[in-house]
Amino acid sequence: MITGLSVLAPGSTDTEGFWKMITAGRSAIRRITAFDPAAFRSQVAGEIDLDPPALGFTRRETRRLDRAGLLAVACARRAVREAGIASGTDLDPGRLGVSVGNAVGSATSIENEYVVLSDEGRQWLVDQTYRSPHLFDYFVPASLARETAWAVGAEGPVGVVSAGCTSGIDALGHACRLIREGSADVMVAGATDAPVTPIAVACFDAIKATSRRNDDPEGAPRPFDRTRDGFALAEGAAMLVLEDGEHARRRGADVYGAVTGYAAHSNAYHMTGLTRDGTEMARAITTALDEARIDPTAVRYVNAHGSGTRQNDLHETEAFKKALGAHAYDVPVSSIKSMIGHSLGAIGAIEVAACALAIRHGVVPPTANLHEPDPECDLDYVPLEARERDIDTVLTVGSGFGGFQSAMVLQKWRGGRA
Amino acid sequence: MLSLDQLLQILGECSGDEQVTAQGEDVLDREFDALGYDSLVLLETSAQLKHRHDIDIPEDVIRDLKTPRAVLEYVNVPASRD
Amino acid sequence: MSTDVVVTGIGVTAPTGLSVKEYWDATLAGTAGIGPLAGYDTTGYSARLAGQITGFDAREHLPGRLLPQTDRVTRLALLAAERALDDARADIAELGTYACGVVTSNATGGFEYSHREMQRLWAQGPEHVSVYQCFAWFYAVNTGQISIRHGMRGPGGVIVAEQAGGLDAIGQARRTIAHGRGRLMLTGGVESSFDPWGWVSHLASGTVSTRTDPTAAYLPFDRRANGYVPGEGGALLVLEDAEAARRRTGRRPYGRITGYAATFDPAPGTERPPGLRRAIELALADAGVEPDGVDLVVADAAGVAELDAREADALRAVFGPFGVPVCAPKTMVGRLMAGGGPLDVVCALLALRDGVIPPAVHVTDVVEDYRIDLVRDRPRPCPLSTALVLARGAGGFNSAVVVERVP
Repeated sequence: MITGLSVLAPGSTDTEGFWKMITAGRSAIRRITAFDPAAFRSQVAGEIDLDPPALGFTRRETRRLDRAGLLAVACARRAVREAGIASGTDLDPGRLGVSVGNAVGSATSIENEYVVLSDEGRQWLVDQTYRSPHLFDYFVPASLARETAWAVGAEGPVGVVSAGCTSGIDALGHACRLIREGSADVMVAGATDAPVTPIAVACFDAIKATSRRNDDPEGAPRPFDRTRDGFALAEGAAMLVLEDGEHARRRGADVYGAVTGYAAHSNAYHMTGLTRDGTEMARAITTALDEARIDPTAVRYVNAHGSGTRQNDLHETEAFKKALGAHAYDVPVSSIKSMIGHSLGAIGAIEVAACALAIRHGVVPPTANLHEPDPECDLDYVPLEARERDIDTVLTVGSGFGGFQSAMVLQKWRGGRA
Repeated sequence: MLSLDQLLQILGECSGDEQVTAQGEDVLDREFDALGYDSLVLLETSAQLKHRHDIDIPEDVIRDLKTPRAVLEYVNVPASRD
Repeated sequence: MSTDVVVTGIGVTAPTGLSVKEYWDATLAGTAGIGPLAGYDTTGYSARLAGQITGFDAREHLPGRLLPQTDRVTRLALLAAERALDDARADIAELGTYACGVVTSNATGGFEYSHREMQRLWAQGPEHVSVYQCFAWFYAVNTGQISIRHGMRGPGGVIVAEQAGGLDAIGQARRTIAHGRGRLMLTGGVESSFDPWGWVSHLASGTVSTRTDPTAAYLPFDRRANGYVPGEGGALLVLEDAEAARRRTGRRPYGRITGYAATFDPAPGTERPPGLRRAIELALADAGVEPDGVDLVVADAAGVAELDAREADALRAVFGPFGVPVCAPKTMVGRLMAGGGPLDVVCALLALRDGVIPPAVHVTDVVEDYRIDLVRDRPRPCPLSTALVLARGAGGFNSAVVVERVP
């Protein structure tokens, strides 16, 4: 059961702002401001105007935490507040766990440290006398889970799930399994990534995976469009409160919906490549639908990976046809990466949050920038405008470097309050 | 001018395929796919051609060059670029 | 969990050996793999001892085509994976590619690779960054490369919890088999980040021993405890359903994984007790074992007085003073981050198999107040059927795994 959620994504400062923006079909991609991107191939990204004091962070926390940590903690605090399980309630801390998805750790802080210690790349034998007291925290991504656990008072199972760009879905899937097997009653689970930093931009430049539409940043991510040319790198976070059904019922929690199916597979094909025929993702979808014990035709909305690379668009389109059959042509499919970019490990959790909001509000968010559909992508991708529609069952999927495909099924909780 | 040996040297380093340099002209018309070179190897090769020999192959072009011969022709025969 | 999960294959990459036999012979002999960090000038650094794997030439073990795209950590992981699957005599195609998965832990990624690429970026410019950087540096790389090389398409994943993560990965793999989502899981962790930039990051933990005498640097539970020595390597294990494994191989497995639990310490400033004791109790409950049924504890062995005291407290609280033999094989290899827990599980399995507890080395003066029975100096032969393995990660992670001998 999802009993609370919070999103921090480019273009907004809270969940409400996020939902308004993506249902308005507005893109928040802009020219990079975190550093001067002039020397880079892709110069656009989804950035968050992070204001730590406004998010309630002390100066000490602001210095200690990497951006990814700030985003995770801010979302976690808001999510538990919304769910009504903030500290002081009678929840046993030992039954509260944390699962944080993350692909590239504290990338921004690690690179900042490197630049100082190496004297901007001049010294291979980096100079330890210049290091920050928080370098070790940046070095080990587990610190992101630790900070989140401290923020919500968790003393149950705590960890980071890091499966590249499926980390967000996988962190939530992992949390569901811990609840189901009885290791925790409540999990604060989601994901965070803040990769808008030169090394990350450069490594996606190298493989030509990001968009070169530098003169039209808002139009840069165009999944399923004939003119798409790659994804827009972004930062972001989402945290959800997942709760054992009985636990939620006992305390009368307000429920967004339930996670009823989840699957994660390795494709054993390629670290970055995807097959044209979509077999791997289709398999993940089928396994997740089976776990949810529902027929493919029950799916009312598909939240696509929709990164905006040709390879993904084709893989995914074929996968939906394979896994959903003829129903693939009837069900709306959309990509919110067209508006908030691709925040690597974080995006999967943001997309699950978007699915929960879609169920609650009965609205399908659109795919922005989709003006000229690629003829090979022949499904209903909800171009440009959101649609009102009663949605009780949602499928969300992700693909990640490292050869991962994950899928998750969310369903409406019919009882209103648990 | 880019020689076959120079190209194979770079392809070998970027792919980790130590045998390719010894094969010489035998590989001229073999497709990169068949040689087991994926798009990453070719992008890395293209970057190294730029760094070492100041040869610029646009990324949209490199995708369509399927064999060592095609790369050499593109680089060495300007008239082939249409 | 009802299903019996067994270990049918092991691959080890440790500072004391690149095979199970080498590692175990060295461990029983009390041979340490700790020495001055080699490969570059370390005179500018405040600590210089490491548990380093020497004599590993990736070219001898891996196809050339994997080299341009892999960091040292991934090369070690690929070797461990191959050895573990060979050891299990597993034929992935026959078992079904979707039935075989990989779950590993890794705490620091492909650090040396990333260091080189960051230097290229900052010294030469963005167009000099390798195409392989986009995956060679991140924490998921070992799971990804292993699954591709061996065609394992089953439930995959990566769990990170600093030093505790390796045990969490094993817990996750066991869960996957017990719930019928996989027939064979390759799991554990391998770590390596000893390039200068990685080394300085290790030193930033603030608890790395600055002593220069390899026999006096890492002394867990000793009155002279002065921090730890970082190590590299780790272990990967093949887990299978017991009955299916018996039918498949007809061999006796290394042992069963019967219990697992993870907890987290309370945030600083709260009065609540630390979580290690709870992790132990939950893991024993999961295994259905009473404390007096445990014959051996492989300790986390932090080497930092406050943490050693805390671990001793937890052991006394659960087992009573001197209630169970405690071993600390990490004294021979150092602390391997995500690789440490899995390597200790290997140690526990081999100890159960051979009925002998390896000694902690260099520790001579155990703090009396700890009242623990630390096995030192020489191996202790004794009948063993159940062992508990502990691992803690900086920041408050506690994990525990229970393994049992298969008669």
